[in-house]
Amino acid sequence: MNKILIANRGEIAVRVARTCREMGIRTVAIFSDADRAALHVRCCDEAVRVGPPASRESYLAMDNVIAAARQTGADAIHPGYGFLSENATFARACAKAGLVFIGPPPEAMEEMGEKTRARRKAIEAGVPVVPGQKEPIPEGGEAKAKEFALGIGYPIMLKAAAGGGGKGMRLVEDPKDFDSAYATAQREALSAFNDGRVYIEKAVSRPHHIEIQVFADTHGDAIWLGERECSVQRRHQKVIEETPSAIVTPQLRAEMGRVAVNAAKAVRYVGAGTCEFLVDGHTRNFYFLEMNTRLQVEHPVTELCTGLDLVRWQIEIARGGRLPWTQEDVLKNLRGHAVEARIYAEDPARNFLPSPGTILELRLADGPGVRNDCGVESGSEVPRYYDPMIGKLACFAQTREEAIARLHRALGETVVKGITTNTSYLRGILELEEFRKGDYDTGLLARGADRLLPKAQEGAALTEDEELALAAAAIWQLEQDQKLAAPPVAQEQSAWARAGRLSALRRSR
Amino acid sequence: MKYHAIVRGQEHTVEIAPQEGKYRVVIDGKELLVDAVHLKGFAVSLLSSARSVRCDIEPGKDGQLSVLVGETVHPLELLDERRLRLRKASGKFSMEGPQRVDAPMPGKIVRVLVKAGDEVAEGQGLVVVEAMKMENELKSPKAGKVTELHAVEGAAVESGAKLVVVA
Repeated sequence: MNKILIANRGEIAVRVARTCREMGIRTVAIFSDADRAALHVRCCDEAVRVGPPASRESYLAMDNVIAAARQTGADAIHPGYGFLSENATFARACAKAGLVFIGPPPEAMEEMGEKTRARRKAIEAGVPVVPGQKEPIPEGGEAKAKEFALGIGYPIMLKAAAGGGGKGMRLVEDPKDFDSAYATAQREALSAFNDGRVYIEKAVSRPHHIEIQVFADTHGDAIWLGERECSVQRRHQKVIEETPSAIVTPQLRAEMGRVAVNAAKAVRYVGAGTCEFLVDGHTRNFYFLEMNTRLQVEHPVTELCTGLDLVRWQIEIARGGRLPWTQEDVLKNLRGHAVEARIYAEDPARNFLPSPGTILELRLADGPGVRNDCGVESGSEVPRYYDPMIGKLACFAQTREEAIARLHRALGETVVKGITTNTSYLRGILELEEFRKGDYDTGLLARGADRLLPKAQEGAALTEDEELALAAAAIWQLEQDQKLAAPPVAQEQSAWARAGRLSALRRSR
Repeated sequence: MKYHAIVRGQEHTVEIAPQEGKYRVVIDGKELLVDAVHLKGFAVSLLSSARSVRCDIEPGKDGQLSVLVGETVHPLELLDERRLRLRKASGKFSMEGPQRVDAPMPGKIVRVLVKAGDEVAEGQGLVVVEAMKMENELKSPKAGKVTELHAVEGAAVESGAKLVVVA
């Protein structure tokens, strides 16, 4: 494996390219017309246009992606997450084109990738699951589906059969909302996964969303790499993830790990995978939700607490290598605490309205225990066509308390100008008492919503910070007004412009 | 130089003059002596008394500025005499009269929920705009009648495009 095409964009494409570079593997980026100037294009050795901005015509266009790999002589494709990463048809097309797909075999993807099949498989393997439909709702099957929903009792969840990442997922609390929620879930599922099928599951109240990272090689070995607590969710989108979970005891971890590894082995899984579980907040019973057959967005927290590079492992295993660690090695090496926050181009004060646009300036956090996985830089355009996540900020420390304080500090250092991001909202979450205590369920953000919105300053008097803001604004405005009044010679000149002018002068002589 | 500032809906006066390499800033009669260094981009480093802060300034339209002090963004308006007069002549920020509903971000119109001439209630959904795979329902700012409808299903719109007028 000498050259890998990275079939993705944004931060994950940048992240995969980094490991490839460390391993001496050449990289090929793909880009849509909206992403010609994107950071991931510059992080790779080669880059190929795959179509117009709409994902369906570019990042999801299998023929174009495979053609790009052939054209550049790549011998493998890393799909990242989202887009084609859990598409078995694509994995097969790669194999047919003589390309290594860095992920599980298509059969395992089909068995685990489609949620309803995964549930059946889990039931066969004796893994506990949440009550729900075993098949997606067929066309024209709404009436029967509604009957089923009444049977298991509201509230219910509508979930995309092909789904993941919270897209095409709706909580329905009342039968009268079924139709509109069903239509929305189908539309979102179709747009995100090119597959509009949806199924019903009973909604578990006050659940923890905890997942187990598993790894399997082509020699039949599989291990787990600890859990990730992903219960900080807004509308089923993960916002903050951490490892270890405050509610998972060593016994529970071992038990969930064992079940996850069994699930992976049952489908002859290969590579990085994640088993998602709902854990009952009271009884600590856990239910298998689904297996994500790809690298997860939140994989950095596992990397921080294991010291591993999961992308390197993915590549080594795709090359036919053995797992470098045994389960005992994992237990010996798990250490510290890691927390990750997802930075979204959205405005929490305006109902989380997406905020695409040009980033005028970007300052990333630094210092001890800080890791940035960022897909943009100063001057980057955040296109309106794709997911609003522009990067992830993860922090590591010896204890949970320190890791949270560190992430809080690092989010404060993060400045994104030109577009609105959720950094202060993220800081607000870290300040919530319920989060600090560690035993929080997926309802955390809904319950804390009022406290998480920017608080209006009380009273007419200016605060000290407002006075400083006004002073800064006035100093800046005075400068602007004076610039306008001053002759243009006073304008700052860039070194490039000066060099250009000089060489032009020399030529004219 | 004298500026008029609006912070949280309240008007303030800000006078500024260079003084011994620093700036003398008088806000509503309160005097500050501020040492300022201009940084790259729209940013200044301020020393006021002994306090050291970095202020990032993001200019908007019509004198609107967002000033980041430490970790908090302060939206404010800074106007000179002329701009203040213009602002006062045009500035009506009540819900009386026709209200425009504009596209809050660039995106695509996925659904139009009303027709021209429809009576709508305050908070009723008018148009659904999709951007970044998320659907956003734009609601009516007041009860009234849809007098203009510019939103077309399937059309791409730029930020600030006029979609609906409710009168």
